Amino acid sequence: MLRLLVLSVCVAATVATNTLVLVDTLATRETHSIFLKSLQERGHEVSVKAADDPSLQLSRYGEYLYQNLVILAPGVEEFGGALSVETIVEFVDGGGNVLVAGSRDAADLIRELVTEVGVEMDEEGAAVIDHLHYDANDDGQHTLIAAPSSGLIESDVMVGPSDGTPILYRGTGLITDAENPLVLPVLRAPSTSYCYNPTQAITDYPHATGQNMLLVAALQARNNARVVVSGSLEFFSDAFIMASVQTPQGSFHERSGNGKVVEALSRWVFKEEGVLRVVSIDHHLEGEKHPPAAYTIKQDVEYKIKVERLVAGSWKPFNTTDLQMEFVRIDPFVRVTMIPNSEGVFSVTFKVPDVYGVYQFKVEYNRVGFTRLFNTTQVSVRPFTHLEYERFIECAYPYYASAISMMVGVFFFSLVFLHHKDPAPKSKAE
Amino acid sequence: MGRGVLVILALLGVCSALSPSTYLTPGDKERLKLVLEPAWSLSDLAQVLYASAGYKHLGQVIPNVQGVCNFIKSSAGDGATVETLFLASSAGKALGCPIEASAAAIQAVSEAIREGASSQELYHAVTAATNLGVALDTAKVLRATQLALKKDDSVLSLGYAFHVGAQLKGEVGSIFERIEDAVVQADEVDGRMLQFEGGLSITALVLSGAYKLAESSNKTPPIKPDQAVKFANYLMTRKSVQMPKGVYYLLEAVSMFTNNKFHVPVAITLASNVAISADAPTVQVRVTDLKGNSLGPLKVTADSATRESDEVVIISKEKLAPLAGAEGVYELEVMSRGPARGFYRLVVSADASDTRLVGHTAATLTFKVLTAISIQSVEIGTADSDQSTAPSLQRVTYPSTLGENLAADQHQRVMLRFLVRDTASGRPTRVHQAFVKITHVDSAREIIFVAETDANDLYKFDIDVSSSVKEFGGVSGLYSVELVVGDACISNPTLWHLADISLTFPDSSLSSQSSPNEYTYKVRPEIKHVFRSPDQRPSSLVSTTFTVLCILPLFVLLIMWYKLGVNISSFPFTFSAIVFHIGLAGILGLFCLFWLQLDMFTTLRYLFMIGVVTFFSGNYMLSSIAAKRMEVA
Repeated sequence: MLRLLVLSVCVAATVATNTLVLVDTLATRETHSIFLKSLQERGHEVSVKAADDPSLQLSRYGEYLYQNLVILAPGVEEFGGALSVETIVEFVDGGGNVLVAGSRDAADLIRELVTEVGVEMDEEGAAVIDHLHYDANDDGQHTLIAAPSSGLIESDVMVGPSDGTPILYRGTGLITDAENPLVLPVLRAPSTSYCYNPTQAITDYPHATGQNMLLVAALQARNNARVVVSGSLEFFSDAFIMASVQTPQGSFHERSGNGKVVEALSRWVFKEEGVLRVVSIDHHLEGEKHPPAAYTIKQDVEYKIKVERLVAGSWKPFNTTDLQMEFVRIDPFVRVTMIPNSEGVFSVTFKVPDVYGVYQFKVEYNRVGFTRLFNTTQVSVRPFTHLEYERFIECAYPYYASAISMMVGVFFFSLVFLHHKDPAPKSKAE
Repeated sequence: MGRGVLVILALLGVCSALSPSTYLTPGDKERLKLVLEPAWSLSDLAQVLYASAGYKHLGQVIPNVQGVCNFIKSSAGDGATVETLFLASSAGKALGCPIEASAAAIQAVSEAIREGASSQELYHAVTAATNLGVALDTAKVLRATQLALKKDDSVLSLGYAFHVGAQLKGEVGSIFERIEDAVVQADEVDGRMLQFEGGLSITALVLSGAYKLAESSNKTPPIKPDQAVKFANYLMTRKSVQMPKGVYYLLEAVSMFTNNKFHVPVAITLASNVAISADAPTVQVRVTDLKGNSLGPLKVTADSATRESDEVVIISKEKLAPLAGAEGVYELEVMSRGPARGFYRLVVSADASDTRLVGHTAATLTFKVLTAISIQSVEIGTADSDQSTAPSLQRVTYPSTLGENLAADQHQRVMLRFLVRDTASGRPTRVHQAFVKITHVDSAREIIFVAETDANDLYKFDIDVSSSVKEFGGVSGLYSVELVVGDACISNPTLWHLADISLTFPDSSLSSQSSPNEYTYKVRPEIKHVFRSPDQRPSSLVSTTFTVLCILPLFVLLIMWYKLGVNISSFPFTFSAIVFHIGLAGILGLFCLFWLQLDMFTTLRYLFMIGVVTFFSGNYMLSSIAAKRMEVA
């Protein structure tokens, strides 16, 4: 399974990736040209189609035609062709990556789709409003948010290095379950923002307020498929990428942070960034070269794992100081941090626990932005054979001594008992 | 009154939709220029044409004109196709360096104008011929065009035919008649745009062709003014185009709409910020053509300005004054009329003697009037849940923070009251956002509550500590209380840290619910296996003592025997006796060997061998001893 996964990642890295872009109107091709062009420049085979195109299909004869799906069609009421929410969810289950953009007036279809990946869009007509963080080009309702970059997730892999430029956003707010560890808050709303219909007075508690509201959310599923959901279609648009930002607090930025974030985020979602793989595993007794049939308790074992990371389309040694190895028999008995070298080989030496059974060497590396690295190797650990115990125990000397004295005694006693010649009675009788 | 409003609204609905609400701003022009710029690497003739014509429309200076001209001339050399000649000659015309017609080129162009050619080929040939100064036979071209249209009467084909017709001298009525055929095929989008199927290039081609044809034949085209405006609206929605070809067509059509004898759509846009406040009390309106050029002095009037929330009209039929120093910009002072806070709909019309102008009436613009607010009568405090005692409230004034920390436990309520006062009117007012943000100081976890108003517009916020355990996650500690007051129509949205409060929740299960999540992104704690420590052993003194004690009886036995005079004098020196005793010693020795190194099976094998020998020799020896005793007895 893992080998298959590694293989498929390899294939994805070398062969051009097919990306299907669904749009409401073909004009989106022009309004989002920078985004689409950057995909093409990075080797994607981009096909732009209307979301209600009757010829749409994701798979043919059981094989996926595309690795990535971009849905820039918040208004689509029903997908065309063989596409539906179910097939898109299946596509994600099959390892496909999806990028979805919504809007204030996103259709129910898009809402249903994002609910499947653990994200909820606020109700129709509601817009993210922030009276303290808006851009000067706002139309008056303060719905053009200049979100401070401090709301970005702390992951260079996902959003690139932060440079403090605000990010423009106009759209609806996203609500996620904070307990769901698979959904990542890529961009949090400023704490003074809220999501409500700007033309209606607030009568009910808004569904999303402050930092609990997300502007961009991401899901990395357990099969490493990635999904990014944004409540704003314009977030990816040329207009926002090229726009300057003027905040009410008076700071001015020549360019918004959107370009950088969109570029980094699209690299991440289409698995061009943050992809790890296990190349090889090696374990043996310390000082030896090959693994034994079984380890004995209390032996010193050396474990090595080689990990590579996809960097600009090629595999390079991975380097981190927090990769851990567990030695697991139902529960982990040992968990140690491994020492990396420049070749991407992580190694550790440890003593096998004094409890025998069937164990696994388990490496699980789960960090924000990276694919989940998971590898197990099963080995058995046996107890000492009778010969391997300690032989002469000092406190057992009385036992040894008594046994030997007994044997010596038996020998002499039998000799004496059988062959004693009693001279005394004769002399007494005499 | 009501009906009047309805009528006005209906009028607005129809008319406002028909005025272009945007034009090519300097930013747009800059972006379009960037799209065209790559053509100057002079690799593709078509791109050079798009860029040359586009730069001309944008009023930009073309870099290295001479180099570009040479490139064009070289590409239109001998053996050039009609299409190349068309591109080169059109680009040459746009650049101002017309290329000279070689005999071969003239011949190629003349031959291309034949019956059976498509209207696009005819367009290329006719344009090339016009540019090269080749005389055209109007009748022949017309015949060929009619044939082409008979074969293919699509909108695209018609568009090319219009361009052909526009370049002919003499009677071209047969083509002019077809303009109507094309226009009726346009699709209406949202009731405010008209486009031809196929998008920007076809729409722009047909439009520019139709107007050019109408100009050359000196007849008003069969396009109604509102249709012209709708076409203009469509073109404006496509100003984000990123293909050089699209930019070329867009600019051709937009330029045509700014400079023709029939229809010039007027864009009425807001020149000032959408927000009007005491600091910026005027609304500024820009009246331009689609390219953003001034249309000369106009009489611009504000038909009405209506507040959106309650339809109160604050302005009607007022003339806007031209703004000094900015051509095409007109301004209207609003704040002196004491408008209430809110969004306003401004309907603007421009009157002009120029009859070509279309879409210049009843353009709807939106502006908003901002006023400042102040937060007053702020009281914060705690009260007992059972209301046994009067609440203790303390006053805080903006922007200071309450000096002492408040404290509340599960038997108490936290209360906050405040008034938001409009500083312009002096009356209490309601705002869109009046939130109380309570942030846990250590974890920065924030909980937001909405303050509610009563009938007197007094904002109240009141939570029962014991019933809000869930919101706070049951985490006790110091919290900061901040007030967020915001509205689209206030000039000073406020985030005010007004107090700190220490909340104490009962130690419920909620706080201890932080179960270790199995799926974590963090480094897990290291686990070191604890090996079972070896059992405590007695000291070697004890074992040595007991070893000695264990051996001692053997020595006692030997000493006693010695004292008793034990002997083995009756040892029969027979073979069996010697073998038996050696065998017995051997068995005992084998036990020692078994303990030290042998395994069970080897031991049993040796034991069997020694045992058999010892058994028989022992048996023989014992029976001989017994026989001897019988003898003695």
